Amino acid sequence: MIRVVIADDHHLVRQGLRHLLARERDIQVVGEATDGRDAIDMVSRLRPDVVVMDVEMPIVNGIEATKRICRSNADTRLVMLSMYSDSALIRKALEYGAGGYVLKQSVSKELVDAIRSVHSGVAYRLRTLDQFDYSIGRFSQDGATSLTAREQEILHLISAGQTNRQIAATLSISVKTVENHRVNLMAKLDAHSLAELIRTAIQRGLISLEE
Amino acid sequence: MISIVVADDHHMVRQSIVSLLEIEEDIDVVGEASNGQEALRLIREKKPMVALLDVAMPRLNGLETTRRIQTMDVDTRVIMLSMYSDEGIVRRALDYGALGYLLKSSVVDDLLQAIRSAVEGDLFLTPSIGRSVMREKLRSDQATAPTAQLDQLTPREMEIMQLVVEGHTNSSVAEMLNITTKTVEKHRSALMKKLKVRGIPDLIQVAVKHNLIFLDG
Repeated sequence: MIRVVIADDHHLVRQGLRHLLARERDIQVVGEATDGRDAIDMVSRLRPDVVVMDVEMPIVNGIEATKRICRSNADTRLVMLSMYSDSALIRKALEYGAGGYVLKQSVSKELVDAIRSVHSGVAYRLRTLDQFDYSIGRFSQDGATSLTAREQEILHLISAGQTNRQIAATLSISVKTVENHRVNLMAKLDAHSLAELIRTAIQRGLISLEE
Repeated sequence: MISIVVADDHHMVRQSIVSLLEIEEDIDVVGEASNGQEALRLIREKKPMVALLDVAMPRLNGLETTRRIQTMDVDTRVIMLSMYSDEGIVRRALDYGALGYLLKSSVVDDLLQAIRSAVEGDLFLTPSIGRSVMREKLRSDQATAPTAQLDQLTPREMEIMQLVVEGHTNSSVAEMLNITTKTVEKHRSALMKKLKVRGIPDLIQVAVKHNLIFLDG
C-alpha cells in the first residue's frame, strides 16, 4: 500500500483528488494539508511514502516545502502538481528533490502513474512535459534565454506597437533586416502570430505590461 | 435529479470536481467541457439545470460564456468556480447572470449548497467574498469604471477579442464561429475603435487588465 499525503490549498480540488485516488487499490490517502507549513508538519508526523504537493500554496509554497521535506525525510518521495509548465519552477522542484511533476491540465491517471513511479524509485517524466529537457533543466524549445540583444530590442518595439518600418527607422536598419529578426523571434518563441508572440513574451517575462 | 455541465480547462481539477458531484444521489453530471465554446455547445444540446463554469478558460472565458447562456433558449443556472476573489470579476459574473460564485478553496458543502440554491433560483456566494461584494455594490452602484470600457463591446465583439488575443487568425476565428472572414475583420476593427487601441499589443494589455484572458493560467 502506498501511503499518500495531498497538499493543496483548494479544498475542492484536494477533496476531489482524494476521492479519485481512493479508487486505486494500492493507494491510501493518509492526510490532507492546506498549505506548505501544514504539509511539512504532517509529513514529519505521518511519514507517508509519497506527497502530492501543489506548487502554488499560501504561507509556505510547494517548492519551499519540497526542499524542507526532502532534506529531513529521506524516505518520502514527492510529486509536484501545478498549473504551470514553467521551466524555472520545474527545475527548482526537481533540484530540491521532487521525483515527478504533473500538470493540472493532464488527466488524473497521470497523477496515479506518477505516484507509483516515484514510489518505486523511478523519476516520473510526463508526456505533457515531453519537451522538457531534464539534462539541461529547461524546455528544449524554450528559446527565451537565447534571444540576442537585437532581438530583445526588436521584441520591445513590437510590443510597443511599432510597425516594421518604424522599427527600421528607430534602429537605423533596413525593413528587410527587421523582418528577418521578426521571423527568428517567432521561431524562437514558437509563436505563429503577433498575438502569440506577445503573450509568450509576457509569460516568460521578456516584456512586461505597462500599468 | 439535478443535471449539470462542468467546464474547466484543467482536466484534473475537472475530474476532481466531477468525482465529488458523482457521490451525490440527486446530481447527474451530463457533460464536461474544457473551454467556453465547448460548454455552450453542450448546454445547447443537453439543456442542463446547472452549469458550473471556471472563470479562466481558453477560447471563451467563463464570464462571456455566462453572458451567452442568458441569451440562449435554455433555463440553465450558472455557477462560477474560480481561483480569483477579485471583486471586479465577481461583479461582472453577477451582472452577466451568474447565480453563484465560488472559490476553488471552498468546501464541498458550499459547492452543493450553491448548486441547490441555483436550482431554486437563489444566489449563493462564497461567504468570504459575499460580504465584500455586497459592500462594494452598496458603495457605488453606478461607478463601474474598470469594466466600463469593455461594456461598450457586444458579446460577439468580446468573443472575437478573446480569440484574437489568444492568437487565432481571422480565418480560424471565422471558421470557429461559423461566420465569414470579412465579418470577423469588421468586428475586429469595430472593437479596436471602441477601445481606442491601435494594435494587438494594446489589445492584449486591455484584455489582461480586464481579465478577459489570464496569462498565468
